[in-house]
Amino acid sequence: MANRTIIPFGPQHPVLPEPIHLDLVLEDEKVVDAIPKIGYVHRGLEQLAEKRDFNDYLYVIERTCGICSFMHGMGYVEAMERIFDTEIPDRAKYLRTIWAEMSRVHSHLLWLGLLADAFGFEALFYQTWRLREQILDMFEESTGGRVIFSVNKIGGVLKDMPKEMLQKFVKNFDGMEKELKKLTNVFLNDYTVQSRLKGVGMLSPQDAVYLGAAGPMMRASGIKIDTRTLGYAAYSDIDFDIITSKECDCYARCDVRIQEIFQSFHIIRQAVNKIPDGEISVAVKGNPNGEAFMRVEQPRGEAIYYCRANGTKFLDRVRVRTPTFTNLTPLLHTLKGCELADVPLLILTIDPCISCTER
Amino acid sequence: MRENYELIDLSPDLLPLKAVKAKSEGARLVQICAVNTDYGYDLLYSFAQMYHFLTYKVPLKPDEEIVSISDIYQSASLYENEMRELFGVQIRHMKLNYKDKLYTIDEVTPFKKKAEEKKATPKFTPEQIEEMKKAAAAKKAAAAKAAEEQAKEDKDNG
Amino acid sequence: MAKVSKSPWMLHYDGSSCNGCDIEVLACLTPVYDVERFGVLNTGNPKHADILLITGGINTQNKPVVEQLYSQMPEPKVVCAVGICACNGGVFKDCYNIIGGVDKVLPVDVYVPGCAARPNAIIDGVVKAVAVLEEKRKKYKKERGEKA
Repeated sequence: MANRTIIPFGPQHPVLPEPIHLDLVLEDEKVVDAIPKIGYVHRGLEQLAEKRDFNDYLYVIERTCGICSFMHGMGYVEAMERIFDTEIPDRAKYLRTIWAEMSRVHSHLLWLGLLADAFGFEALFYQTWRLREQILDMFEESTGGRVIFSVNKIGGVLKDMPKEMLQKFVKNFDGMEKELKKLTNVFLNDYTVQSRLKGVGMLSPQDAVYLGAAGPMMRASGIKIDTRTLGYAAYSDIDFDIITSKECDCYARCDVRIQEIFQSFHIIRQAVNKIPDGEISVAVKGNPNGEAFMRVEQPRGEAIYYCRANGTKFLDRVRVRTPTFTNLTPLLHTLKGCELADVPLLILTIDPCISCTER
Repeated sequence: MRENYELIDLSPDLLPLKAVKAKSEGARLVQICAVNTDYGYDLLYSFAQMYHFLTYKVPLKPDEEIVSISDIYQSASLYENEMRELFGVQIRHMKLNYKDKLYTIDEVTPFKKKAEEKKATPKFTPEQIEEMKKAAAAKKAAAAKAAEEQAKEDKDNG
Repeated sequence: MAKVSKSPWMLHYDGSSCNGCDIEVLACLTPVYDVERFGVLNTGNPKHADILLITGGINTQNKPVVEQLYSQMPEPKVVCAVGICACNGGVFKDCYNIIGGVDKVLPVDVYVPGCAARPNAIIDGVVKAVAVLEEKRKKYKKERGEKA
């Protein structure tokens, strides 16, 4: 048996914008075991529900994560709407769908850029992020914020998008799609990129289920699960397929995410065509009482929200189960047996969001 | 359209059985979390088989122990460590035990402590309540007397 | 910032932020905002860095990490707190695991408020940090008896 060495990885690492620590047990260059240490970003915001009332808490939960902040807000308000048993206006549902899909485009483009940076293709990183700025401009125009929007409220949304703005956005997306096709051609067909991604980090379908993978990680292993098909917001009126891949490796995860960006454009176009006129919110009165679960498909996978209210302004418990938390176990599984040089790449392919994980 | 989810009460000793059953049916473990209640905790174990979402609600007293399901589902160990550190839930036979060092926080079981504080503050002893009742009655009587005197004075004056 | 004699390098560390400020810091480096035109370069190594950019508040576990990063940087050095969480704790001020802003453990020179801090504000903060660095460098040389 070769000598074993332990290499500490993180918390400050050039590839990762966020802190996570792994103790990698190596035999020569092969990783045989990995032990995670989390908690560098732990704030304890779930407990803040006891100090802020249920309306104010929305602004706290949006700051669980700055990348999918809209989704966090939406999951929480939809759970609260279940407790109140209110139905929101159709226009609000469509607006939520459009913003949610825009968030997905923004998040996946961000991830593609970071992936390019991880395998050392800096020009590609800059190009992807340049494209991503267009989405942020659209967010700024429609909500006023670039990364944290706070447009949700219990009972609907706070801001409306006029028809001209929606048409303009669709036009922008056409342009973006053209540019994105050129970029994704590099990700999917470039020889050097393929040599880094293909056959690395295999996760079999059985493992994906038993280790509890979520989102693109699971779909890249051929499991056809997408929480959007449950039909929250306006997804029940929208026609889309679930994108899967059978290859189970890093390349498959990249492929699934790229196709999801194009799918998101498709969903937004449908939503803009179908969006009805009318109110954007209903008044919700009184204090909540009861408990509810809510499942939302975030860019990184399925997120679970659980709220329990006791008839006062302050909630008993808010629980957020984020996709990265559940993707950690599959990550540790794929790390076993990989080369040391592939570790940053493997960590990136689960699309880690550490501030989501630790809350 | 809203999708449904099931919430089923379960006694703590049946949990491993149900977990084995869920695994044999091909369900995945979605989440585990703890909630503070008057009698201790509610532990929520959620499993999902494709889109079918099933949650077992396991009531637990603070001094009771629960058996870990991390042998059955490997991914359970992170959730269990989290519950143990933040709520002080006692879990037996954990496969990967961080010994309350998953998040490394200064406060010990912050969620549990706050619940106890909440319980302690608004309560009064029965004697205190009796005294308060007496004081209130005396105050009421004094007010009534004053009003009476006022009325009498008014009568005398005009 | 009239003239910079040397190109300052920047180290970014995520304290306990929500990611919002981090992606804005990264957005500063990419084509649309591009701080490299001020000669500022992002580096992953604290031993090469002059400016430490911290996003998010300080908690129990990242306190030693932040202190260590700061101690590894060569003199003179500037600390820039980006985002309201790094300034004083922000929305997470009342959380049980948040000690407070970065100034609880390090001497902060430039504060950039905002939730999330906008790239324009971050660039402004970085440019101010460059000016502070220049001053510190002069003072540092004077103390050591070198010619400024």
